[in-house]
Order: sequence, then C-alpha cells, then structure tokens
Amino acid sequence: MKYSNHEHDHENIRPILTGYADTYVKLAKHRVIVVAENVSANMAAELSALLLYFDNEDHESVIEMYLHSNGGATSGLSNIYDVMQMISAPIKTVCVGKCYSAAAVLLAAGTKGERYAMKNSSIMIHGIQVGFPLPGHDITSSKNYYEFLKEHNDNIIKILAHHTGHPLEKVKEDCNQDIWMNAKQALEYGLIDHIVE
Amino acid sequence: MNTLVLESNELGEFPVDVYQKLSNDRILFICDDLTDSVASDIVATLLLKDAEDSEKKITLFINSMGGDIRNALMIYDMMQMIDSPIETVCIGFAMNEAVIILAGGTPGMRLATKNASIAVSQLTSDWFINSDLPNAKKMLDLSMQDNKRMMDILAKCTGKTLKQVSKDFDRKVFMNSAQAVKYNLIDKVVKSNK
Repeated sequence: MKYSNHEHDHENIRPILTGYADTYVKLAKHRVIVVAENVSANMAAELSALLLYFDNEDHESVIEMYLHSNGGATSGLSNIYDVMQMISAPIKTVCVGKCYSAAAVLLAAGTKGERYAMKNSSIMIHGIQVGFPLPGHDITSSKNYYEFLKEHNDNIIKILAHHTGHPLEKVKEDCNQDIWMNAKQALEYGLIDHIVE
Repeated sequence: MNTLVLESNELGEFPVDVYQKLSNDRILFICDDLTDSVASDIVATLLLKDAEDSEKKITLFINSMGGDIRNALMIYDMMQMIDSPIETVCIGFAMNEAVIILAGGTPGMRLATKNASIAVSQLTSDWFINSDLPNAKKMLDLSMQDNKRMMDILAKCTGKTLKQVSKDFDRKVFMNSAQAVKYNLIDKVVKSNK
C-alpha cells in the first residue's frame, strides 16, 4: 500500500469544490452570507467567524445576511447577536422564506433601515421555549434553572423591544405566545423596514 | 414468580394468592414504586378492611423507592381518613415519597426492621415538558407546592418545625432504623424473636 501518490499531489494545492459550495464561495466574495440552517452553537461559531472576517476586510461596506431558518438555541443566538452589534460594518438582513424564533431576532437585529423581508416570507417571534424541569434534579436546582432561563428570556425580550421600538412591557406580553406574521405584519410590528417586492 | 399456595377445606384443595391470603389477615404490602395501580390497590384494600372492622389494626409493609408524590399523598390521606389503627413496617428500604407513608402510621405503631434503610430528600423531578416560560413557571410552582406538602407531613409526623425539616432534608439524608427512631420518623425497631 502506498502512503503518498505524486500523481494526485495537485489536489492538495487546489481543492475541488463540489455541489453548491462553489456558489457560496462566489457569494462570499460579494459579502453575502446565506443562513439556511437552525441556530446552534456550531452554526453560531461559523457565522460569527464570517462576520468578523468580512468586517476585518472592510469596515464601511454592507454585509448581507439572507435568513431562512427555524430558529434554535439561545446560546447560539446571543453569540451571533453580540458579534453583529460589535462589528462596525453595516449588516443588511433579508428574510427569504421563513424566520422563526431565534432567526427572527437576528432579522430584527440588522442595521436600522437595512432590514428586509421577501413579499411571501413568514416570520414568528416568541419568548424562549424550554424543557422544564431538568429530570432527576431537586426543587432547589429547578428553581435556579428557572431563574437562569428567565434571565435569558428577559434578554431576548429586551433585544426585540430595542430593535422594534416597542415598550418592554408590550413585547413581554406579546411574547407569552407565538406571534405569526407575514411580511406586511412584520413591517407594522417594526421587525423589518422594507418589503422586497 | 409463583405466589399461589394450596389451601384446603372440606371441598378439596384450591390455589390462593399469598398476598390475597395475607390481606385477609389485614396485612398489606407496598413493595414496588408508587405507581398509580399500586396506590389505587392499596387505597381500595384499606377502605375494604376498614369497612370490615374499624377496631383491628391494619399492617402495612413498606419496601419502596418512592414514586409519584400524588400517589403517596393519596395513600397518606386515606390512612388518616380511616378509623382502623395502621401499623407501618419498613422492610428493606423506604425512600423519599414512601417515607411519608411510613411516618404517617398511627403514632406508636411505626416500625422498621433492624437492617432497614430510610432515605429522605426534597422532591426530585423525573419528568419534563417542552413549553414556554409562563408554563414552566406554573410547573415550578406546582412542584414547590408538592414539596411543601411533603415537608409539612414530615414535620407533623416527626413533631419538628417545617423550617427544621426543610433544612435537614435539603440534601439527601440516609438513615438506618436506629437513626430514624432518633429523628422520630418511626417509633421503634422491630426486635428479633430469636
């Protein structure tokens, strides 16, 4: 068995891209990120790395984020949100298809005046969803866990209130249940600024 | 396992369940987790035995790792409701929710065998639901209410204050039968006849 093959050495120098990866690389050249997966810790790391990279390249021009996501974990959300607020390049967010839960927060967290939704897209916001209480834990730790979750929830409500311009109490009241919106209703609620016709 | 024994009378031999036979002599067993079916069986038998004779004592053997708090409370309430004195005997192990049944026996008639163990802690959750935060709050309140109920009963049975009991059982406490007598969870250790 051979451990090195000189005939295939060129593969190590120029990787062959398969499938859609090629398209995304070309889009990345134009500072476009396509987010089409659930928000998770892994995805958050990749997305924040991309955002930081684009910001490092150019502080002035717009980074575009196309969102089509079911939402996901709050830890990932707070990671991405903090990076979005940290970098100085303006971020244009576009909802294509659906932005639910955590993804809707990311949509609303774009630069003011640069938040778009496609005409037929749908958006949903709510407070955090939890598995409660933790099995096998006693009441004291359940109580602590609840306080921890409440802090996360308050944080998300604060972010939504800040970016929609609604008072905190109203958003808190609204987010006790799921609110399903089309693009027009999202515009009225202040989650986006424009509808792409 | 086969729990049938042969019983004979003038008509001939016929099989009888051991537990059935013992329950004729007012001896009941809780030797399982406190599931819905166990609890309802015990409650039904207690009612029946009390209706038959409300003067004679009913003996309850306990070897249980606990279970649903609601089932434990159901048995406890029924034990308080009926008139017959109830002797509780811990054989093997009584844990968490099963302890309130053990401690809820008629005062002076709460026993444990020499090598029995008793463990008490605050309620632990063995389930969870996926919900929004307001629902989670309701679940938490409910669990805390149940925990307080359990601690109330333990306080009443041991003659200690609620504060003291809550403090003592904040973490899991393991006791042998002598220590349980000292804490007043039971009244005496069963003496060996040999």
